[in-house]
Amino acid sequence: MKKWLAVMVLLLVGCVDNTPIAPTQSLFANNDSEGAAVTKGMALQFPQDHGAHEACQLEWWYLTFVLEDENNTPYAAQFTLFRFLDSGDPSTWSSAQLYMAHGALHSQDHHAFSERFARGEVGNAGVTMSPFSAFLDDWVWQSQSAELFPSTLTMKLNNTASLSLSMESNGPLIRHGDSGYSVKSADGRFRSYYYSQPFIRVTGELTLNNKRLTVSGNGWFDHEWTSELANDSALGWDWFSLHLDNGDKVMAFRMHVDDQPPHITGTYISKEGKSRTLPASAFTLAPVSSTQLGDKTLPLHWRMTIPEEGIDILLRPFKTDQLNRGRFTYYEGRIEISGSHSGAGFMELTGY
Amino acid sequence: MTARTLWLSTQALLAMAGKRPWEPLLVALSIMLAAGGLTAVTLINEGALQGELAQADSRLSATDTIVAVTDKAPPTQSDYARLRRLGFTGIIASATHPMTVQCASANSKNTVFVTAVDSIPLLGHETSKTPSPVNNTAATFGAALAQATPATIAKLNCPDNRVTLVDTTSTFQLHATSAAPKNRIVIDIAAFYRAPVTPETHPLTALLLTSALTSFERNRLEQQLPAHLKLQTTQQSTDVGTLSASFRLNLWAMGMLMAVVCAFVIVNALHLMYRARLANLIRLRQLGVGLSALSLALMTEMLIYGAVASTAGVLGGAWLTRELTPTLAVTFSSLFNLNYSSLDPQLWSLLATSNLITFGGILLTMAAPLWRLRSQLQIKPADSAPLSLAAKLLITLAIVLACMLAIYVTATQTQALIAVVIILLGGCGVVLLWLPPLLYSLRKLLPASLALTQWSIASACQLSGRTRLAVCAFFIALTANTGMNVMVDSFRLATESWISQRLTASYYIYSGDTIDAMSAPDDVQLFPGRQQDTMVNGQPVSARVYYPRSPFTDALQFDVLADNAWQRYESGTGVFINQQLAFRQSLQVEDALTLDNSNLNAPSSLTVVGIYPDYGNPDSQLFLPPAAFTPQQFANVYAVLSTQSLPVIRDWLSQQAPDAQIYARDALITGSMETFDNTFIVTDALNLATLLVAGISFLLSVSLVVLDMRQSLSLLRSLGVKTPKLKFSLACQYLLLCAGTVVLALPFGVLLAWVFVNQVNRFAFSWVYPLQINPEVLLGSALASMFVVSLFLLIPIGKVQARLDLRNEVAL
Repeated sequence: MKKWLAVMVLLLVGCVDNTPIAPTQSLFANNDSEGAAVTKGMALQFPQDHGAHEACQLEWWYLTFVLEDENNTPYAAQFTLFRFLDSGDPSTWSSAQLYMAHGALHSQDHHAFSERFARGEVGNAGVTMSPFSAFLDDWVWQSQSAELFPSTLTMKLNNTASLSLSMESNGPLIRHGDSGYSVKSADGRFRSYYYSQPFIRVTGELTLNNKRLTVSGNGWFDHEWTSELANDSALGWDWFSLHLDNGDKVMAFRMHVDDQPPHITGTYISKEGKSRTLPASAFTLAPVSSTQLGDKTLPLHWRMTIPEEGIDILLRPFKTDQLNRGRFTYYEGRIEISGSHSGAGFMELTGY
Repeated sequence: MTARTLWLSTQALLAMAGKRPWEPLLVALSIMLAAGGLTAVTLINEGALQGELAQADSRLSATDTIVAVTDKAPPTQSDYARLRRLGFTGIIASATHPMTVQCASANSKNTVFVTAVDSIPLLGHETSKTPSPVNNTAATFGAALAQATPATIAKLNCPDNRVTLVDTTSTFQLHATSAAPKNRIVIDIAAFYRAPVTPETHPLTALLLTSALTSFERNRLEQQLPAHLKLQTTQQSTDVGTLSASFRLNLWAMGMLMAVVCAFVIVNALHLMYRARLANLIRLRQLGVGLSALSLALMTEMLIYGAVASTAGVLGGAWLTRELTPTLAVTFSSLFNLNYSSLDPQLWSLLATSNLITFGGILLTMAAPLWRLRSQLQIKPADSAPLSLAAKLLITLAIVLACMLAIYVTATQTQALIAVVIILLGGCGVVLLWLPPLLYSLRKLLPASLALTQWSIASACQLSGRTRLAVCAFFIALTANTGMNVMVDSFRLATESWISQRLTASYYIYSGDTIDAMSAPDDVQLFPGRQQDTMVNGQPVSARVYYPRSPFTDALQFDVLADNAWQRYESGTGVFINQQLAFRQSLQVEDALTLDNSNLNAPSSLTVVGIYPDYGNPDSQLFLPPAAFTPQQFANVYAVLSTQSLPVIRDWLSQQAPDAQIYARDALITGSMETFDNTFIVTDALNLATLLVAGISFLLSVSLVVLDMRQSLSLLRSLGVKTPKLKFSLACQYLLLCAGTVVLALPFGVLLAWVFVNQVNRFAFSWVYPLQINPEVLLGSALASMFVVSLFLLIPIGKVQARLDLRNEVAL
């Protein structure tokens, strides 16, 4: 009897482990539209490229924060401004650009998430230069100059959750892939322009559940634009940004494309700001278990190894449910790092 | 005070309740009825509301709007963006303009109002709600959809429900929703503003607020508004179905009335209960139980009853609602053309709310009886001196003045409802003051030789004092019943007379297509209805044709008419407006109004020469002579003047317009009145239920007091009064009390009806009608209440035991 039970348990566990959990829904698909193609060899220029690239179908400015209060209690926050090119008939009311902003604030016990939408050129959403600003309604990331930092971020998610952060960078911008040309699939069909600022020091205040807290921590900024990812075949990705306690940073992702094995790549960034692209052969990134969250089965625990850097780490969410339940539901939240290195970071799982 | 003292005292009180269960049972029954009634009303209204919401995006039903102070400086895109960037994210830009549309697959053109709203921000939400997933941005943003009411879609009569805006050649698929504004097409703002239509040629007309503002937010918004914009509250009746809103309002009013009546019953029962327990409570005091401990124990006992009864009431109310759901669904569908959603009641939430309200209510209703009891337990109660006649007259005068003031200052729907409450409470005061003297006067009129009758009236006087709160409950229910009956009867008579006069033609033809009038048989004259949505002083109004010739001129009733009104109307300088438009824009006869005449052959400035009643219409409306309209503005109806029989006209019509429907005048009037009567079925039932509750509790209270009269009854029996005569005498007492209450309730009922018609209806729906005081209706209300009392009289009187064993009586 015991043997039979043991076989059943093994079979069940085996079923869970051996069944690949992969995204099945494209997040931003818009196959009917066309936009400017992402081509190799185009050098990214700053501060110009901090602005919007309206000829491309899809673009985002992505800020994530791992924060601690004065008692070292962990928190996390996110501000993302998405831009979509709408190929509909031209309107005399607005431009062809549509904006969506996501804001999230996490503590161990609370999760505030809000999303907003607006049209371009109406005046309540967009990205401006000199000084740089990315905003939608009263959610505002405002710089003092054409550069991204120093700058402030203010967001009121609801009547009980808001944040006001000051950000400063203490390292260089990092161009991913080939000088910012980031390939997302083995055949090169899916690609984007992609750079980050992983060296952001953050201080400020957040209000969560009507409780005001002084916080500080690390921030990570991603800016990416593409037309190729706005396609039904681009099913989703597993994306990680890691702040290691030794000051080094890691960006890694697995891209899921129809009928192809996941495309894995990343960037290793030393604390001095030197970066190198991690091809799939240089590191491993794999889920170690999956978790059921409502109707979604999500790989929330991961293992990453980068042998050349002596890194063998486990990545686990600082709390299980960090689903942003919006028009486009996806997982985005803080992770804790343990193993050969420690630290904190962010994980995004889309398309599940 | 120790917990043990409290526990023992509560146990003692519960034991007393076991010995004499009638008052606690009455309290529990009242709480149960109030909780059940309010639960049922909550669930029914919630079901009605959810049904409406399910049919449309409620977020388009703005409660407040930001509009221009003058037409010259409308809201702009930059105003909109600035306010949203200041954090007013519930604001949505909108533009409403008359536009020419044509069916995508046909050539027929119509001019309709198109409302463009910035729908993109409406996609946003906070995390507490999970929206339906949308996985394709194109599906969300790019769809060319338009919303309109089923009636508007039917009026446009496009074969595939696809319409094209002629100016921009944009095509839309029409989707039916009863929540859309009437006679409008609602589309997305980016789809509306396509060349050559721009925000400069067709400016924004309003910034809608899609969520309610707190007073703080309102103040902040008003401070941030630029000088050319102002915040105004939208008259919701123009956006939502008035009948449905009226149904919900009536239901809430009835539910609240039932709760108030129950509160009075509880207070009365508590007075009786504490009075009956006085001897035992004094003993507890003598045993050293403190006043605070005793009060706390009494409260604990009541909270126990409250928790049990409230829970039973909620379960009963939820069960009743579930049983009624199929009937309600059919009623809503047939009367209001709306869905009624079957709700899965959130029982825990309902129970928590109900228990909380019950506990709060108990603490409030206990205050007076407890205060009285405490004073009785502290000192020997002494009868307070009765009020002098002058004092009574003075108090009555104060009550009358308070009622008059409440009516005089009323300027909103809420204030009108407050006036209703003041009248009911004022009436209670008058009953308490004058019912005993009224009965006493009656006694003085009778000769002293009628000893039993004298005793009977004197006993009724005594009863009226000891059951005064039950009398108040009965008075409120009866006044409300009379008020509702007079109101509904007045409404019915006004509607019937109005419809009979207005529907003056022999027949009415409803047709989507125009009919060739020249082909009509001899002695058949067709008068096509014309209709055009337009604006008056910047607000939407429906313009209709009215023919200035006999017999139509005789058929139009007016509230007010100017000199030479018909001549001025026919010449095109005068206009007739309905009450709704007059009330909403404070227009009077001889006032000038500014008409958007872009689609009408009429001057832009017209003088109001008549105001006509237009019962049941939620919209503002005006009449213009036929010359103001073009044949394209056909309203899908013809009035037919003819002496020909219906079959003759029907034969001709079947060849001309096979799809057209023809109705004889009498059939239309009968159908309209049937709809009218059906509308009031539910509220009539609740009204009667309230009266029954008040009647039963009144009877129970009186019966309980009679239990204390056993010594008197025994004495009368020993004096040789036979039991049947004694029972008759008791019945007379009850009916006398009832009749006294009725006499005082009837004038207040009439006053209440006046407030319902001229204040509540006026401010809720913007129309009034003449109050008809029909003696038959008043008599009907009086007899109904007497009947209720008589019906239950038999029970307590039947149980009267004239013989009793004095040894069983508790010595006081």
